[in-house]
Amino acid sequence: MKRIGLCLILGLLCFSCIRKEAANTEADMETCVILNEQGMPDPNIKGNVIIGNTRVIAQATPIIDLTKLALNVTLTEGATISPDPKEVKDYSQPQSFVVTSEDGEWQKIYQVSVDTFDLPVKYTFELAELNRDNKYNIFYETIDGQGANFRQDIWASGNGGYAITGVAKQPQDFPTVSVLEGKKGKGVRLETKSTGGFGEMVKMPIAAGNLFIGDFQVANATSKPLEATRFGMPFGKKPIRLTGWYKAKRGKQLTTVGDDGKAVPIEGKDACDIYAVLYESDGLSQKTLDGTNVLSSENIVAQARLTNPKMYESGVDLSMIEYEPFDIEFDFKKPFDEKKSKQYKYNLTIVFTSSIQGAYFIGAIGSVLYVDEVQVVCE
Amino acid sequence: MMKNILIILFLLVSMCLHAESRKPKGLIWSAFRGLEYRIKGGFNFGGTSPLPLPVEIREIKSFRPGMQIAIEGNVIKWFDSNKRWGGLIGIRLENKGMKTDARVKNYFMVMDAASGDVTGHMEGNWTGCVKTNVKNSYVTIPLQAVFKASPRWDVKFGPYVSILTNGDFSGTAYDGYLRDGNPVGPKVHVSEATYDFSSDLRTFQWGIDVGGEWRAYRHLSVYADLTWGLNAIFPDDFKSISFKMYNVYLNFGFGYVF
Repeated sequence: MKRIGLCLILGLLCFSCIRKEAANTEADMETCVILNEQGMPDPNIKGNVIIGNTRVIAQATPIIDLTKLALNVTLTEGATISPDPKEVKDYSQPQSFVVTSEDGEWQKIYQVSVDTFDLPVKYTFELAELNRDNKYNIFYETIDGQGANFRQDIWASGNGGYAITGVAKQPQDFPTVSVLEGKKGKGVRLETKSTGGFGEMVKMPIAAGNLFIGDFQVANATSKPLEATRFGMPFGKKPIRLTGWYKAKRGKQLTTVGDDGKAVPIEGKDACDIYAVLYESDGLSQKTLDGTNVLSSENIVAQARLTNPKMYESGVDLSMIEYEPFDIEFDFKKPFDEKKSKQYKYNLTIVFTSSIQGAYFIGAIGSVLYVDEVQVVCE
Repeated sequence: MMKNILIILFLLVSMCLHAESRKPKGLIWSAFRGLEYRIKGGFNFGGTSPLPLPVEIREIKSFRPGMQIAIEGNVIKWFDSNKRWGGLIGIRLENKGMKTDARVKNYFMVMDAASGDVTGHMEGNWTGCVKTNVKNSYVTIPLQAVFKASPRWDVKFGPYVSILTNGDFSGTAYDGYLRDGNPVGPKVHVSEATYDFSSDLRTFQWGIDVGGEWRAYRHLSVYADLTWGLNAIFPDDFKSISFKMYNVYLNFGFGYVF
């Protein structure tokens, strides 16, 4: 009898052995360095190379020779890439690469583009499209130059993080959306929304609508939300004023995050936030400001922020309300260094959000901000 | 549950004492009809686990069986006068549970989570760590054939059915990342996210119970039963855990034979 029992237990143990590890199924481009013809990192690349899930965007000074560039990439262990990124190619137009997972079952197409144009300074928000898996709106700009309409992916939002929660069933359900009723043509609508059960699981019960110049790193959206919003891109001009049109209302009840991750009511009133920051990128980790320091860093050169925005109460139907103009002067905290500016050592970001403390998941569900026809007036 | 078990244990003990004092009448009556009564108290040791372990599980970092109590009363009807073959029916109040901490890779899951009228839907591949706490209470009815292998040894086997009276299946996913939708979807690092599937647990369980009982003294026995669940603890349409999990527990302890 004892022997039978022993056999059973041994059988059970064998049955529950850890099996041989399966081949990787992921197909990521983990790092990407832009090389010149000699195979050296090209010094004309400014700022960070932004690596998204399917897109790699680098910015370069106009003197770069786009026709003779190559890439040095690292991939998920075991993954392969074709064509060979080390081959010298013409990057005047975006180049595509296919990354295949180690197990051969999964593939991802990366589009690599090198942008040599300056940041635009007029934003009409006429250009919006659905992201690659058709879930949510992304905004972009184009520049007419060299005969081609070059696309500049400068705008980022938290939509990519919101997509994971599965709360939104269609693009219009996202916190950051493109709307037809802008001041002129299309505009942007930002709304603070509930993130549902999954948001609560990770103690982020709400998501403010936001749109900013920079990069939203979805990968860090829940683990390091403040670091996930990387603000700013290289900018070679001296900004004087930030102008545009907006209208906003506050949601009924301001909430913060409770111990259980749910939204709990607190005293106070929500407000939208609109600001622009010019800062020096040298000396910053990742060479950008993020949610932890975008308004407090020592590197800030100048700042323009809308104070006391006009907020309508929650019952108001904003579609019946006229847009309000704003015209804010940049407040220079440090002397503007012409030389650094020309070398693209300054970054500019413009940030719009429907809840001023949205980065800390404090806000009122239903707070809305419409923005359109924004411009950075430069010297 | 613990409280209930203590109350029932107390009742059973007082019943035995009572029975003891009435032995001449009741037990003799029963003995004539080939009936025998036993009560048992012991522990469940084992796991609620996919079998065999799926390839997604890369490491079991820790496993704690915890204190899982089982108490049981049963009746044996001997079919022959030699008392070699008999049939057993009983009722067992038991906990089956454990705590595990595992590392998984590329583990596909589908989850819905509601908060008020906002329902989230998540689908994707998780790579990282998962802590699981299982503490389920069942009322179990074993139905076994008993074979007396020797005067001191009873061997038993047969099916059992269980009804879940209280279920807890919860935990945290931590230190890892989710790939939204599939392995090449956007990657999201998660430092900690809690989950609770208690309300999804299946109420009805059944399986096979194989065991032995050794009569140490006239009235006292030592027993061990392997209870192997044959239907998964979650219903077939439950997608959050992509593999089927079964209750496999060794139930052991002491018995009192009247």
